[in-house]
Amino acid sequence: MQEPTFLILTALAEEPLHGYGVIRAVQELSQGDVVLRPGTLYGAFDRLTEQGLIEADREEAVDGRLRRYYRLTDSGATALATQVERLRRHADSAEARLRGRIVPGFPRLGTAQ
Amino acid sequence: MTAAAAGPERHYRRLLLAYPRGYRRRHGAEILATLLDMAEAGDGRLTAGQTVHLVACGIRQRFRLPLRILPVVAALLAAVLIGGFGGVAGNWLAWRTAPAVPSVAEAKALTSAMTDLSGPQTESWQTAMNGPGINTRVEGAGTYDAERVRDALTADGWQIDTFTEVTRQIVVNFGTPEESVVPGLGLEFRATREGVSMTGGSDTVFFEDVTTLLALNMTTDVTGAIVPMTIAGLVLGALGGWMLSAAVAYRMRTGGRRLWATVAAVVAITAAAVPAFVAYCEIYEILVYDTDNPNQYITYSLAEPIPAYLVMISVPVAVLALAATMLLAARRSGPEPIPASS
Repeated sequence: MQEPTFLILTALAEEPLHGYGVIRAVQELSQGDVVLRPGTLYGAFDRLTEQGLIEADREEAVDGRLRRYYRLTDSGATALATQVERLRRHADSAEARLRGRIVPGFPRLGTAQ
Repeated sequence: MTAAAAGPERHYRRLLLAYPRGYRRRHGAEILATLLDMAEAGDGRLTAGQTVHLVACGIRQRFRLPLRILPVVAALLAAVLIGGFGGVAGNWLAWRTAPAVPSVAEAKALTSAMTDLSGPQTESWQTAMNGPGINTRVEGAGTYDAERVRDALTADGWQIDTFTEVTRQIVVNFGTPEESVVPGLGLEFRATREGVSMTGGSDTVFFEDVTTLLALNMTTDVTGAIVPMTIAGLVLGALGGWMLSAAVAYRMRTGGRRLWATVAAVVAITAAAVPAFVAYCEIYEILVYDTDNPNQYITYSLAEPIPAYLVMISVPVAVLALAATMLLAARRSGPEPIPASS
């Protein structure tokens, strides 16, 4: 799963959001590292809808603008949870390896002296 | 909506034209709302990078297929088939930009002027590269006169490149008891005029009565645009075929009579196969044509045994089946999205 996809699914995990809501949420979640452009966002919406990971929740007209809200499907929640577990495993492995890293002249990290 | 917002909205609507119509119908209003939200949150307008990216995504959407094997196979087939027609169309257009050979009337007039004989016969033909050509031939009682030939060519605007008079031994009454060899005079020449080349020759036989035969072959020279335009047509046709498949697949995904649309699509692809094969045979001949050959020529392709009526029937069947596919795959009309400007 690509990082933007992961972040979009994460953004929709709590509650349905409209397009601009997802853009802001992704920006906050990634602490500004990932800024989705509209073309990317709606391409991703289309693909994720096709894969059954998200679906349209409702439409609202606010100030004359149509806002379509998207929500995470059960299948999307499962896919996200699987990805979270996978990333956690990878992060744990990376952390363990970093702790065991041998640096010449320095003791091993996390080793009692 | 304020007057200040009307400008950006108009601009964004224009940008959204990069997306296919069906996609705009489904998502246009919400994308527009997002763009306006983004513009308001920023400095009031999209950046140049965002604008270019949006248009690029719209164009990419036109080629995007559902993630299933059948639409991909259909798109590949459509790209190949319509690419063939595109190549032939590009070649046809390229020849329209090239100089024309003399008309039948002009060719007859020139042939008569060169020989002082009436009633020349003409035959129009096409080279293996689909270039136009015309042959003329006249035979009758008359004397050999090289100067008349030269004068007629020059008066008609031809630049004479080579002009050779030769003596020949000509067989007369071939295959009969009276068969014999008699002296004759021949003429061989080449000439050009505004992108058209001519090869010609005559034989004058001094046997009983003096008879002269003259034959001309005029063809349009191969221009530098023929091959590139053929290839461009092929590529554009292939892209168009892929886009068409993407549009049909998208329509089928969002509704329509899928089974019947699929049946119609299979009929369209099957019917287009024969004319597309003929088209590719033509394209092959165009691409391998020996442009260094001093004489333009024809070749016999693999498509030769295919009867013309089969192609004439297949093309309209394929077009009708394609139209049926589009209609059957058409999305069922749903509630129209609320326009952002309302």
